[in-house]
Amino acid sequence: MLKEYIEAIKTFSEQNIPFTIKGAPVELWYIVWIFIFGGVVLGGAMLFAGLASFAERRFAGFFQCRLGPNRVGPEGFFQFIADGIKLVLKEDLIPAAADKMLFRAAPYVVFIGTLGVFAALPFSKSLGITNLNLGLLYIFAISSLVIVGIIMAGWGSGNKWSLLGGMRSAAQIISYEIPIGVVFLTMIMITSTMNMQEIVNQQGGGLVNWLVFRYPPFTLFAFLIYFIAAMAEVNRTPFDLPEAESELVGGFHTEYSGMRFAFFFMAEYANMFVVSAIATVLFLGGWQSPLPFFILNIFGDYSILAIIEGFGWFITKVLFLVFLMMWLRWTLPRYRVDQLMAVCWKVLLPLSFANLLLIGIWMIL
Amino acid sequence: MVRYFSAIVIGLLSVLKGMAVTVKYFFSKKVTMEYPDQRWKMPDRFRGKVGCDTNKCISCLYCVNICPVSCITLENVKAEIPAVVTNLEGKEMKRLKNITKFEVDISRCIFCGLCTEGCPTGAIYMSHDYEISCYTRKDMVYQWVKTKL
Repeated sequence: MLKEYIEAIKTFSEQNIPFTIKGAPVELWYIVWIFIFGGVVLGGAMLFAGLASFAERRFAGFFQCRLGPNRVGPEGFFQFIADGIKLVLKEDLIPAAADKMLFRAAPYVVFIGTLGVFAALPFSKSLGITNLNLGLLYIFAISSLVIVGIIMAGWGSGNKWSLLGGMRSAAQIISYEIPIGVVFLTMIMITSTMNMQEIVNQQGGGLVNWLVFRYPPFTLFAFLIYFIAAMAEVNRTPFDLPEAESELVGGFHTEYSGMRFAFFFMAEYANMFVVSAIATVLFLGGWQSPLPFFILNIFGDYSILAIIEGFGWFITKVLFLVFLMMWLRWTLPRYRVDQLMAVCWKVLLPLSFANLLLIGIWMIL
Repeated sequence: MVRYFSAIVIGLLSVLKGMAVTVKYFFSKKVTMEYPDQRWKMPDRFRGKVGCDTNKCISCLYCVNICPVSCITLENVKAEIPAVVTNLEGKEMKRLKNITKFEVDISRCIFCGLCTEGCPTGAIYMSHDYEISCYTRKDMVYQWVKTKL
């Protein structure tokens, strides 16, 4: 059993390692590359989370006619570094009533659930950690780990507010995963693949070929349903009941401080990136340019420069969706619990099923 | 059925309406005053910390007597050579006494402005200075002394 497993790793690493030095065992290189990719993803996710938290505070200011933080560095750009240093230096408190094992593990579970998704995202043509054939299914599966972490945090804190937050979060995320699943199913039906790179490849050739315009207006509805459900999935306002400050003090992360809180915080912002990236890949053409061609393709078909251009398009679209989430956060007030459930079960779910059915009929015709 | 769909449409439209409002504020001029760097211009009749021009003061003790909280202390000696001071109406007045002590305890001051209203020479006035916090009570007592004796 173990032998077969090692053989499988060996063949996988021989096929997937970008380059090796002669004489070094393949397995060693495999491990080295794991660390390199892991470091890149972790660094990128943390940097994005930091920048997004700064941008969120600044934009929150703008939306409310304020300036927001603008003291640390030019226009307050280094605010997130100051915040990060503060969080690292803070004392790590664990309440006496807490279930210490769960309490300690919860932030990492949440963070792993978010970070795991980055492995399957296509950042540009042939730029990505892996190119999984069942990428969409993998993303759907591993992002569910976030709920487990949140329930662990809520239960492990030994605090009624945290528990309530955790339970709300479980109810909310599990409910909203169903419309998301149905929308995924719709997109899989249209593209007939779960490979993320393949989905993006099918949307080449300009704006009109993006999947959001494929079967108008049904795919647009699918996009709206996905976006609303995704906002609920990442606990953003107006769906931020699990951490509703004015009701539950801070929900599942009431008892957390210091670095563990920072992990929750980073996971939240990285999660925003993740759901926006999935929306970009599924609906907005991923790394494809809105023009019918890549501008930098003049230097050769999909050269390094064109790949960088694709990455730029991808990031631009993702950041636009992230901005949209921030915009909605400062526009809408929070839902009540019953309204939250009504929106999911009475509106999003039936509409997503109807959407699936209608697109299916269109495809047969 | 019609109600169901119209509710969805109205909901989405109202979200868009709300977003239009917030984005208007996003690009509008910000109301924040970055205090130590930028300051409000105070109106002319703003009553800040009491200030005193001891060159003009003729030591009539009007302000000392009218002050409702008795926060002004004024001590003087008889002048050997009387100085000439112009009052608010342009008349010249003789100053028969020299001031040796002029103190205002800002921690007791109620900023009523009565001391300034009757001052014949306009020596005591309400300045526009509102940054009067300090670390000790002693620092709250402001002194203006013309001559040291």
